[in-house]
Amino acid sequence: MTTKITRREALKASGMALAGTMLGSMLPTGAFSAPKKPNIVFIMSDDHRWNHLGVKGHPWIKTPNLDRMAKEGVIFNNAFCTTSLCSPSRASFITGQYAHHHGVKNNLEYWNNDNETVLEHLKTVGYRTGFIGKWHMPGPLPKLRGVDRFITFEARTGQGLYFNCPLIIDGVETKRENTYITEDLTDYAIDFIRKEKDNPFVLYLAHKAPHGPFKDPPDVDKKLYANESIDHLPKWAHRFSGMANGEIYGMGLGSVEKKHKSYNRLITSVDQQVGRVMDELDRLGIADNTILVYTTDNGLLVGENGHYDKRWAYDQSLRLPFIVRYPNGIKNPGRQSDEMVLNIDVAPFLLDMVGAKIPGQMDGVSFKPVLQDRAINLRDSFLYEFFKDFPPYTVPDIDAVRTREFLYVEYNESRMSPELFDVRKVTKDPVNILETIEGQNALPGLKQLLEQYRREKNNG
Amino acid sequence: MGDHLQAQPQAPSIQKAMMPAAVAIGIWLLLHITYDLLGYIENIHLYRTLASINWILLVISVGFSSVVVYPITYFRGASFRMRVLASYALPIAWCIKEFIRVSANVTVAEALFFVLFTSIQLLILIGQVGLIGIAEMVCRSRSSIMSEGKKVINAGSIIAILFTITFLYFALIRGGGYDFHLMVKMIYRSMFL
Repeated sequence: MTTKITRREALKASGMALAGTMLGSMLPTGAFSAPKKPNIVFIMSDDHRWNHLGVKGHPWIKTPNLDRMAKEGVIFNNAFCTTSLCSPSRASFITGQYAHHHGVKNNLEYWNNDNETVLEHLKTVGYRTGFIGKWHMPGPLPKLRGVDRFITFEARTGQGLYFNCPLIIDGVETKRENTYITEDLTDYAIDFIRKEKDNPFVLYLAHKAPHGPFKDPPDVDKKLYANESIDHLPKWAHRFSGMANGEIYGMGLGSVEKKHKSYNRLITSVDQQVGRVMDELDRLGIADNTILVYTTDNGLLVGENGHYDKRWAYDQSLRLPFIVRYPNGIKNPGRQSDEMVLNIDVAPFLLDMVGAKIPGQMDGVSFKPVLQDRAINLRDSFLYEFFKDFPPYTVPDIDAVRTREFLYVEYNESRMSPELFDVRKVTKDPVNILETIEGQNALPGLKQLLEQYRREKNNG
Repeated sequence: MGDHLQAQPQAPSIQKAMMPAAVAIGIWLLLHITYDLLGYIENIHLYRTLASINWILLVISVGFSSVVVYPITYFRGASFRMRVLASYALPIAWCIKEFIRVSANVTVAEALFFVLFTSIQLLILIGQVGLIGIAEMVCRSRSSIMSEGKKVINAGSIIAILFTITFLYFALIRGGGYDFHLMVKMIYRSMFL
């Protein structure tokens, strides 16, 4: 069958074809394909105290890049770890599980290679995956499934060295002469980003800094903060580490003030390296479509009730700096959120953000609605757990419940009495209010809540 | 080493050693009490200054008591065994205090492991071996031993000092102390987990 067309119709058809061709050439490639999945850059530091950020009102620390990140994203005022110790918390971040689930209960118990990580789940939905930095979990290096680039270190039982730290690059031990670790890891991270910029990628970048020993970083002026006062710290932070409860480890010998200022310079150095990553994302034109997360594994006590550590269940150990920037996905950037987010929420959050299924074994929840500025309530309380990391640390097993108002702590198999803190009252030293009228009024509800969490924990 | 010195031969050796050891323990306890009492000082700068001084004295008393106790007992004429026991009185008292503190949170067996194998306690206990070796040589040089044909530099003291230096190397210097720390953890792991 033939169809006759008029000259007018022929001209109209050819005109439309020409216009279509021209329009097509003007549109970006893939305009009619599915939107590109967001990239993910997750940056974790080590022992970064939650309020040691310019944006959180610290009296003198300089963190311009993290402040910028907060200004362009969302900073969480109530971010916590569920176990305030490096290995368990790191395992919680990467698995989305509590320590009693993933099994890395302290710095002694080994990582189980059957544990599923967020990286392998992202790999199954088409992501290129990179783990660069501090692994630091007990036992031999893991057999991580679905990781395309794995750079880490084993020196000093996985703590690494600030200078010339040998790296294990995809299984090959590599000397790194004349390097500073935060900078070196960032170099590898930027290299990974450049190589994978055209794919959806996830980069897990875990720094050693600002963990002790507090050695001055080479990229920050050693005189920075030299004239600042540490009067905002508890008075127990005197020249030498404390003897409270017999602890004489602390920060080791030497001036606490000097060490604390080096600690702050280490944070500023991390900030500078975060800035380099942000600049590279900008330069490559992929910043808008990249979810950038900054946090740490746990907080740090600097003299609170005489402790210099993170193993005690005080708010300063539990709280984390936590910032998310994602220009394409954050409504009303520059916000502060009071929602309670946990380390175990990161894995489900990242999977949720890319539209992947959240596995049932994950204990955390996605906080994606917070980025969308939706009125939600993630939780009002959570279970904190600590498994003794003995020896030499003598902190007993702990179960605690943290609500928006209180932190109730019970010491297991210990002669230590329970403690109760009102977290709304900002004091230099945490004050145990258990025996006060306020404490006695709050206690029954908190005990009940803790028992409920314990039952859930024991039921797996 | 130096057993022949009997400055006060009329008193039993144990008495000659007991008093210096008791004084050392008394000073240590006093420093503990003053350290805790300093906490009541409200002025932050005054507190920090005094607490720092107190802390240094406390560490010296625990870690270096034998430097003082050993020579005193030596010149009081105590036997070698008594001199060593007196020198260890304060470090052992410290370990007992640590045992009591730690056993509040762990089992008795674990607390014992802590006292015997963790680095601070070992540093204190083994450190005394070297300090006693040094003290013995210093005492010999100050006494009339030379005229009696005893050597200032003697094998026992040298072995004691070398033993302590070797331990310090493995515990503190090799691998920045992490190797030793890891070894202790692994021993603990194999015994208790």
